[in-house]
Amino acid sequence: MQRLVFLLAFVGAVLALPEAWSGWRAVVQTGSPGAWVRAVGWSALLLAAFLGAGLVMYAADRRAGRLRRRIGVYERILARGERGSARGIVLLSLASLACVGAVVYGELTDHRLVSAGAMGVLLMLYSFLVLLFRKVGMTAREE
Amino acid sequence: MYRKAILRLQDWTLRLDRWIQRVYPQDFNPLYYTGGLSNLFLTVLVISGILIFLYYEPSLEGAYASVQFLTDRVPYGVIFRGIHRYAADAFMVAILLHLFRNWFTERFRKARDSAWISGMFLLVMSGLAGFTGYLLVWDERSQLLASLTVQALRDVPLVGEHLVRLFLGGPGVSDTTLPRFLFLHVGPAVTLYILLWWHYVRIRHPKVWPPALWVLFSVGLLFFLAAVLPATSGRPAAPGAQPEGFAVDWFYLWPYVLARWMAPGWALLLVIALVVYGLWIPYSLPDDPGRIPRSPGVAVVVEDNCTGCELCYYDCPYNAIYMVPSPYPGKTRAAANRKLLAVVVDSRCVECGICIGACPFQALELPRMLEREIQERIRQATGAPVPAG
Repeated sequence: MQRLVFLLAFVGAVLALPEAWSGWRAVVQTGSPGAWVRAVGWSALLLAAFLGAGLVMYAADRRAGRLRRRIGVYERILARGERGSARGIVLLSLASLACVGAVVYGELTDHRLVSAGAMGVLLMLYSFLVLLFRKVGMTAREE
Repeated sequence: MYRKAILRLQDWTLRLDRWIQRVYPQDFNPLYYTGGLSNLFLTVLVISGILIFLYYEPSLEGAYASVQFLTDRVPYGVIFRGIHRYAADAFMVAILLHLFRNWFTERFRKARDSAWISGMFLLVMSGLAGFTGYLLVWDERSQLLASLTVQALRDVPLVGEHLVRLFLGGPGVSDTTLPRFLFLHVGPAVTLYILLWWHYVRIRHPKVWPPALWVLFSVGLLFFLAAVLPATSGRPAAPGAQPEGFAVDWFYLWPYVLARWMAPGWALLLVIALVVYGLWIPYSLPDDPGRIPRSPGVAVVVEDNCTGCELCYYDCPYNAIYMVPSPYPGKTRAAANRKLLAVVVDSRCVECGICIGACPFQALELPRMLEREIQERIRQATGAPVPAG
């Protein structure tokens, strides 16, 4: 998947470079709004593709411990991904609480299939919580 | 052709591992715990089975009614019945994944054939316990299954009638039939534990239980399925009923589907042929001379170098290395004062080479795959110098 993303970003950058270059030439020659839109659009795509390909390489090096120096922009983007796991833990915890409510509701109202189904979902949510705990580094591998 | 297919399947198995490990850390990869998952589902089956057994009445008149009572009247009875039903399917899925993974990665060679053969018997007994579980409900499906089984057993030459008597507990369906079915359900289930002992006896570090993540997920899934798709019975079995079809559980009842196209006796023969082929697999695949040798030879202790450190002893997964009091000192400086000496039990060694990696003193070698030859291969393949040791 990462290879595919890198390849797409690279191809995008290769295509965007001449288009952006000719776009800026047209801006200098004509100065028309259409030329401006074309130049800015292709330049933005070039920048995004360039940064995207760099991010994929940076993330791979970071995982392998090969970083020589940290790049702030990429670090912020990658940290956002880790915060996503933390957000996932919060959401799963809330969903688990809802399941506990469903278990109690089913038991109080004799809807036992609801209770059992909610119990099943609760256990599956816990399993995903265990996975996310590992991903954010809250638990370690058992030796 | 067959060899190519197996190698391709091996490649796909390893690719699947890598794909799963993009989401799950390596020690959470469920495909590494298919045996442990089977144990988990077997435990769930035993616990839920005991709870169901408390209410079950093994008689022609009472069996169906007792199952219906459990399902409709006992608090959470329908859930326990559903958990028992779906755990049986999950058990078979885990077993088949375990079987195919070990087949495609050829983990049945040499001394590992013991685990493979016991595994095949485990599969047969699991299938028998699963199939007889469907008979115990004693609804129209049970009746049809019993009738097809009787037809298949009758087709067996010489001993057919005796087998029918053994199966039904008499010449025909009678009061002794349901207790016999119950025995045929519980008996193989108990046998599973004896076979599990055989399955594990030669493995030092078996993964007998999955990680907490998969215990939670699996048990949760069983609860969820039992609630969303409750297990139900068909119409009760009746002496004159002529049921023509039934809901198929493809994990246990597939041989009965074959009865649509062939005589039940032939379907039975096909099942027996599949089992015999399964037992023959460990002895069927020749080595491929073009590849790294698959039989690098039983590990040999280089006695001069052995320090008696026991690392190989603890790392060998097959109990193939024993430590004995050293009769004489080693020749290297590290081995000069050793107290113990490693000894390889030839019949247990699967030639995996794990002990070679465990030994920091180069005191073990596979005779047809020497360490220096492997280093030379790596050097030739990469062009880089390989550090010794």
